Amino acid sequence: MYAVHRLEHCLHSRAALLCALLSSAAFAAGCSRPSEPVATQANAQREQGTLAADGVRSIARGALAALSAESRAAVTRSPVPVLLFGDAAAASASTVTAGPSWYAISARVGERTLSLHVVREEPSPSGAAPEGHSERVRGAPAMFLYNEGVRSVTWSERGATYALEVECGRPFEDEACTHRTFVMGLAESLVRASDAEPASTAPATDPSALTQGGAR
Amino acid sequence: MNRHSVCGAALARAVVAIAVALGASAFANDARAQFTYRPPGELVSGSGRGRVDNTVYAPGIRFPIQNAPAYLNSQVWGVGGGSGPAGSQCDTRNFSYPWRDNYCETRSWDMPMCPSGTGHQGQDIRASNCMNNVHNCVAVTDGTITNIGTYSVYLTAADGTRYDYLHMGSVSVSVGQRVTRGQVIGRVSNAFGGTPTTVHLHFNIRKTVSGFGSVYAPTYMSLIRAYESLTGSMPMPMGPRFGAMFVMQSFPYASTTLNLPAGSEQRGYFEFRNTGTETWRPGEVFMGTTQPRDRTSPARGSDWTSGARAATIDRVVAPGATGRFNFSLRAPNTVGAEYSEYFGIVREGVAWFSDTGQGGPADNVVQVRVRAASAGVVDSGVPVPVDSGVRDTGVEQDTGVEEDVVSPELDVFEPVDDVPEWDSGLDPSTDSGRRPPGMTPPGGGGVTMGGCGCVVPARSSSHSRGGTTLAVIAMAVVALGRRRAVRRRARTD
Repeated sequence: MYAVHRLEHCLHSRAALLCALLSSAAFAAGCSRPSEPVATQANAQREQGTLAADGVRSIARGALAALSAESRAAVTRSPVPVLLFGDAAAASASTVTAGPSWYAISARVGERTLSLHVVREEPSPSGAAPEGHSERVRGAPAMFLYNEGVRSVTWSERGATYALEVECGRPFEDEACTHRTFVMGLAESLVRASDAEPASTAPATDPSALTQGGAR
Repeated sequence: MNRHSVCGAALARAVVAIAVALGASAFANDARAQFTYRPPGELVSGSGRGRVDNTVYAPGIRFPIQNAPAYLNSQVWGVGGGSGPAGSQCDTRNFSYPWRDNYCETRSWDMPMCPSGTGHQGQDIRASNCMNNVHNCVAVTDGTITNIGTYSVYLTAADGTRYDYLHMGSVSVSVGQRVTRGQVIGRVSNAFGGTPTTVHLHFNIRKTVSGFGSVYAPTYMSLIRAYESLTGSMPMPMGPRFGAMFVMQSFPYASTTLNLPAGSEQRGYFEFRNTGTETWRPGEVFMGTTQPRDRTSPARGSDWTSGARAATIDRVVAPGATGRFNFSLRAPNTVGAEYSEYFGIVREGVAWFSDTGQGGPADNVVQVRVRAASAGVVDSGVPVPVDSGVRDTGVEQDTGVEEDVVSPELDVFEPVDDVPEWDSGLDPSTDSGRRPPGMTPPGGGGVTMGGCGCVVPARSSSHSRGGTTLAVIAMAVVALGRRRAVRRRARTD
């Protein structure tokens, strides 16, 4: 289940993984059949898309399967769309909790503690990005913060506000806390729990597949 | 051990327990007697620019250290800190009142809520003394432990607000554990990864703040209220339960009539900032008719919730945040006829914001005038001269508020989101309480803290003030004349 992910582990991001999957498929197609008709190319593109989606689903299924029964129950209870750590080590170390308007993940990986705190978002009438959200993560305006050695990034996605943090055992030496690169990569590598559902029963675009009764 | 010695030991334990209880009580009394604090935003001199913010971002929380006394002040700028006076962190000066805010204290860390854009993002708290791993930290509210790091514990409340305890030692909870308010979760220590810090608790409130997203919110006022509750201190006067301060509106001020085709409607809004202590919620807080209250309005639009309620608030508005009342006004059916409508804000079934002791706006302040105009004069708002007394220039030049005229574009039929806004000129991020230009309510009073002053009936204020002044002078002259007459009479008697 984690084969694809382990191969791509160094890429750190779902987007990178998608690109890699697409690239490898394109490379194979290009080498073996360099002059195929348009209709066949379209078929190949569909296959590539399917392959990429399969890769994402594989990671999401792995992340979900790595959770304890209690954490999986919390994923189901979550009132907001659930993102999970795509990284295998982080996924298997994750403890998920959920409340009436939030869910959270805590994962200790070596000396690093990863934390994801997600709260249902109050709709903004203006639609403008909040102050300080001058960068982008997962395609959304994002804000990076640093506080007492803890690196964090926050953004909004599918009706919820996500705050991802990393705390280090050696906060002034570990690059995961001295630079933002790690937390940014970690954010990009988060996978939707809904993607763990079989495509036939729950399309990858359906955010509420595993977040019964509250996903918006 | 014989029976007497057992009884003796029990008695001794009881005496010790009573002594400890009395000691703790004495501590609390002592803490209550002495407790003082500097205002929010006032940092140690030279330690940066604080955020002046009286908002209690986490109302009702328990103080995070189990026992008083405790001291909020800077670790870095305190005695023995990296930028403070030389000495030991155990110096008694670090363990004394008054408290001092250190949110936004100089750091290179990005934080849009800080005036400089960077700063410290929580509050440093010392326990009663500098002993390491001795003083208990407790849950500030019922909730779930959602993360435990190398030196941190996160507690998340039902509403999603997260309370972070940093530099924790002897952590006695686990991730996923439900805790109750006051439950011990760890101890104040100097833990900070491999590099110890001073013995203190760094306390964060992480929550979504309107306009900023998920941030470490200012904690100072929340901790003051919590400590007052812990020690039984009398709270310093704080804002009213219900209060609203005008921010902007899309309808023209009452000094300018809204000219609409007869019988037609125009949608618009009033926006207010919550200056009270209660959160406003849709379905609970409404804009209703006043003068008199609860009157069915002839200007009611088709979207009103009832004849006397124009609209409910459009979102959940926490203290310090802003929200809008969106509704339509209808012009009379007869060309030339005019409706003059006053509004107030009401927490349905509880109180009007204009009630005694609440923060306003007063019933006679928020007004809109709608006239059924002939086709030729629709959209032709009448410019109001600067010297009319309606929009005086008693405001700093940098407020960005138009001074000269009321824009004629205000009567244009446009979607709510696109219509021009009447900006109060107030910085919503401050609690200055400054009134917008020309917004003294009729009679010059009735609106105090957080009072709305969004409209003034045309040409009323300056004239009425002048009339009042003349009347007072006249009365004084009459009184003086009478007094002299009495004295003359007395002398002659």
